[in-house]
Amino acid sequence: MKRASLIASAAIVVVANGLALLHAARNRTGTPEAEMTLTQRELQYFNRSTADDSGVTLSLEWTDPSSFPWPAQVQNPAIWLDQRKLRSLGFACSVNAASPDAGRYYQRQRPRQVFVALEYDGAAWRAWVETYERSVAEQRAKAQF
Amino acid sequence: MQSVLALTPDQQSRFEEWSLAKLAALAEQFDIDITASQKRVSWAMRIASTLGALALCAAVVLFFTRYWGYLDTPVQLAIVILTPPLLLAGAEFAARRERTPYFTGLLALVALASFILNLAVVGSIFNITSTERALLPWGAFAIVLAYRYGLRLMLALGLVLLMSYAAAAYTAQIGYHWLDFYDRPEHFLLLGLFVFALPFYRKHLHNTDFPPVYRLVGALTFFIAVVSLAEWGVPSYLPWETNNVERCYEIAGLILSTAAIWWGIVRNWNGLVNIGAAFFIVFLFTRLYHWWWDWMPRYLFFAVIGVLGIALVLAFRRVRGRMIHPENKALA
Repeated sequence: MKRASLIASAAIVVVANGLALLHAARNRTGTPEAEMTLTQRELQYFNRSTADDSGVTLSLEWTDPSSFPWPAQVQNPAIWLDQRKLRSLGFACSVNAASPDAGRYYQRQRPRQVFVALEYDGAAWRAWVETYERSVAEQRAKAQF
Repeated sequence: MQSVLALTPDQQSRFEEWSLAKLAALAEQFDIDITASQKRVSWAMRIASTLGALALCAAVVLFFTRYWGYLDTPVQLAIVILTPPLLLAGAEFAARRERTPYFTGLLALVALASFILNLAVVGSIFNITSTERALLPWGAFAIVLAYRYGLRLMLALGLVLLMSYAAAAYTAQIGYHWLDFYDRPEHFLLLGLFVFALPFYRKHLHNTDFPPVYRLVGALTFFIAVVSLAEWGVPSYLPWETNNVERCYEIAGLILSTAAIWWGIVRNWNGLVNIGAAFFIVFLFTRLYHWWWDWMPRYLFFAVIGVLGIALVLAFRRVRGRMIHPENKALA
């Protein structure tokens, strides 16, 4: 009995690590469906090396097509995650967001697991850049005026 | 004492010799404290051992962070996977050499911390999506070590980890993200009751000081969940208005904390009495705060709280007096 608990504690460590490594190995087997080369614009490298931390961090930068640094200046930004889209993802949106019960109703709603496709250097990105540049030009013109 | 049992000087001398020898033998055999001074030193050793273990846990984590970037992945893996078994071997080595588990407890706690770091680092290296499943081996590891070496702190940590696992697994099962498990206090309300009730079904013949730990962890979890729901009822499963949910849990908290005090006194469970008294005061003062804070001058509010505190002390003293002199209760 005494030895059993010692074996059990060691076995927990071995089995947990074994399952984690097996999961990692399975995740890495097979041929990738696609490969993508990212620049530092999309995959930013942060060297946090300090006296107490020798780690580095890679951060995937992505842009919401309806998000701008100064949204009030951009006319009618396209809201891609609207009520219709939320409903199609399975969220119940029957209560009006402006009603007094909305807070309680939406706070109690379950989060859902969904997938988001990120577009790389596509039409949405080019439209965002165009809108952004136009907005910057407008801001500059206003500042000069 | 002398009027009850009269001993001759010779008998008294022989009794003292026998009692001293018996106490010395028990101290030698079980490493128990036989004087108040020894008891105080033992407590100091326990506190020092726990603080030392916590400092060592921080040291292990900071050591990995400090040298992490200079190591290759296989070396990183080897270090994090081998550290928990090595510390476990150290705890086993210490346990075979000491009767009171000061160093054993210290090493076991560091072993648990390194095992938590181990799975977290493996997940981070291989970019494994975080799940609630890691809580299960962590909790099981802590419980096994607690029972093997008789460590109460380890048992409490293990119970908290396993309760978190149960709540997180259920949360994930019903469609939430598992990390939102703390967002539904009613899960912990039921889990706290379950943990509290466990010693009734599982007798502890070896670790006789473990049932109070179950009761402490269970009662604390239960009452923290009730306080949380009494203050913010939105996450409740009850299909009522938020205000009604909060009032319901507030009243339940007052009644149940009073019941906990009574039950603790009846069963001679000091921990339950203390927890019940602490939460009774929390529920009472929270209720008074909601009633009076906005319209009452601050000095008057605190004066009323002070008077209520004095009234509670008098009430508890009366209860204590009845316990010392039960005949007063019979006459009343």
